[in-house]
Amino acid sequence: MSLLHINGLQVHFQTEAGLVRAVDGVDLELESGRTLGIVGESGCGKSVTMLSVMRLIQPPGRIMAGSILFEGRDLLALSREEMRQVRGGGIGMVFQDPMTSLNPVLSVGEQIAEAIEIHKRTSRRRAWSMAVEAMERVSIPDAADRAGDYPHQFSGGMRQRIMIAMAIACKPRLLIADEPTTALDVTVQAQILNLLRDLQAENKMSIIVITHDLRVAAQLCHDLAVFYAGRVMERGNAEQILSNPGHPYTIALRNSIPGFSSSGERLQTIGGNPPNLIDKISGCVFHPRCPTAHSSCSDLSPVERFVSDGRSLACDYHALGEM
Amino acid sequence: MYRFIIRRVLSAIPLLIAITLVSFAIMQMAPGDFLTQMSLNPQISPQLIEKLRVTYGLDQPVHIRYLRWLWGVVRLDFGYSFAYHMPVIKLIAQRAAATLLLGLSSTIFAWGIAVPLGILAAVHRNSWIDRLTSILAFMGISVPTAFLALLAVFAAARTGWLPIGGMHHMSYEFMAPWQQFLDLLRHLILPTLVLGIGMLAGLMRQVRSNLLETLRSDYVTAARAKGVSERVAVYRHAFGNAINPLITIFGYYIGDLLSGAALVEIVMAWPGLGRLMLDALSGKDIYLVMGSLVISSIMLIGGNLLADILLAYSDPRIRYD
Repeated sequence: MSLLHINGLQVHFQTEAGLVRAVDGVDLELESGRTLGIVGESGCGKSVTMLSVMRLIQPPGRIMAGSILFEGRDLLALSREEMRQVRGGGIGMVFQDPMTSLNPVLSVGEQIAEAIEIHKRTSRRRAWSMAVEAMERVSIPDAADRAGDYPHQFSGGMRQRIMIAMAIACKPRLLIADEPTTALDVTVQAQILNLLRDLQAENKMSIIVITHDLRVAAQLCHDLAVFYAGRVMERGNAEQILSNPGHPYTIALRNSIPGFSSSGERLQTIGGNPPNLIDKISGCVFHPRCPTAHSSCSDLSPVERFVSDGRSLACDYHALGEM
Repeated sequence: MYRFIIRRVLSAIPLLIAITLVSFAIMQMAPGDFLTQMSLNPQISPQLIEKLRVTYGLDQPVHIRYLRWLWGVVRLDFGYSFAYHMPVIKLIAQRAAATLLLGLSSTIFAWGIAVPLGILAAVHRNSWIDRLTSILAFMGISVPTAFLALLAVFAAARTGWLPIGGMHHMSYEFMAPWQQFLDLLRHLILPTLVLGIGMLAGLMRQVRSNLLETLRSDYVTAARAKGVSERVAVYRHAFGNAINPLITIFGYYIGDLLSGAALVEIVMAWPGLGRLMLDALSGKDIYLVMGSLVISSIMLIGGNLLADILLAYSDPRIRYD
């Protein structure tokens, strides 16, 4: 049984401009102990999908359909109280911007201890010392002294470590990291990625990393899911996808990133803009920008098909050929 | 922190001097003085008026009078009221108690209702309770306080349920202490409501918009992701960050305690500082005006200082060193 199994997830936002289908039929699967990377452009539904796993979609957003099985239980069917136990207990989450994701008026120790008090039902003092331990685990120097400090007294990288300490304080089986390094300096980014890798090895937890940076995904992830316009374009083994992408969008995405395309060549861009999710696109969502689109692509919506073990993609004319 | 407070108190001194200097100068620009009215009375001889003018020191040039007054204030002598034949400080103390009582009761009333209603409106955004409180708030903001006071007096006169004005019943002196207390409360109800409603409306909108902003913030989402209950997310995380602007507003209200009620006091015959000030101003009872002004300025400066100190306690990012 997989740790997390998302099936046919649909999340809609009722806005004044119209209905936004932010997530439109997403399937994902994650085995325990593995790292899944979710890549895609801004607004492609990566974060909304993960917030749905936490059931933290705020109105006007709503989860319309689908199931999210975590350790075999459908999170969408849980009561509020049961869901609170999952949040921070079974699943921890790290957010993108450590500058705004920590409460400025509470000390970092209090904020970590708060998570522990909820899930471990221990005394204040015990929770505090566990919070200090969590800070030590993410390599914050002088953790015991610094637990009483406030977020503004830490650098960006240290704050992200604190966010991670908060998320892993209760030893979750799954850690969701939403663009954990985007707001950080490049040198600090590498440190945070290493930290996540170490923590995974230590605690045997699974990680989902949301990123728009394919290099981050390449460094960290076993598996990869490529999102576009609220759907999964391609998913499977990260190494295979990056070395031999099958979906035209994955190919285009890879070619637009320095370091993946061969050196000396001009970087390629993807023509056009990501679609407005209010308008319904007939056929494949990528066909208006697809360099290899066929005439039928505008009529028929491709179904996700499995091409090899664990590898699947949603394109009728993918580059891998029939296997 | 202590150094900050001392510095602020010291810096208030030149500010106060500037305020009094300007006010004193403006008062001099209007023609005539307290004795001008008397000179219209044929029964009083011009010689007597001249004598009085010398006695009151009004024959001296402006700067001498200002410096004399200032020197008096330094020795905590605020001068003498021409109209009441009483030391200004004593007169103000009598009236300030009534104004402070009204100010405090309406402040407690306004904050006690505005904060919970504002929270409710923000948490249940766009629900019927949010819409209802919004409509009421806009009504409260749009109706002028003086008009509301008139309405209240009218309603009290028609129904006879509550006294139409004043602070005590005529037979107050003959009541038992507990009756006196109840009588005071009955007299306090309408002015408190009138004064409080004006404050409440704006304050409630402020609470609502501050909280809406912090409810949307990343750290509240992050707190929810830790599994905190909705109560903790709203009160500890969102409201804990929404109170800073409120503290600043609170400081202004303290500064307004003595002068903010003037209109209501005048309409509802509340024996407070507001009426005293107005009479003193039109009667050119200059030292009484200056005395009230100094007290009000000190309240304003003190209120702001208090707000700044409270801010430092509520927000660790604010430190005055």
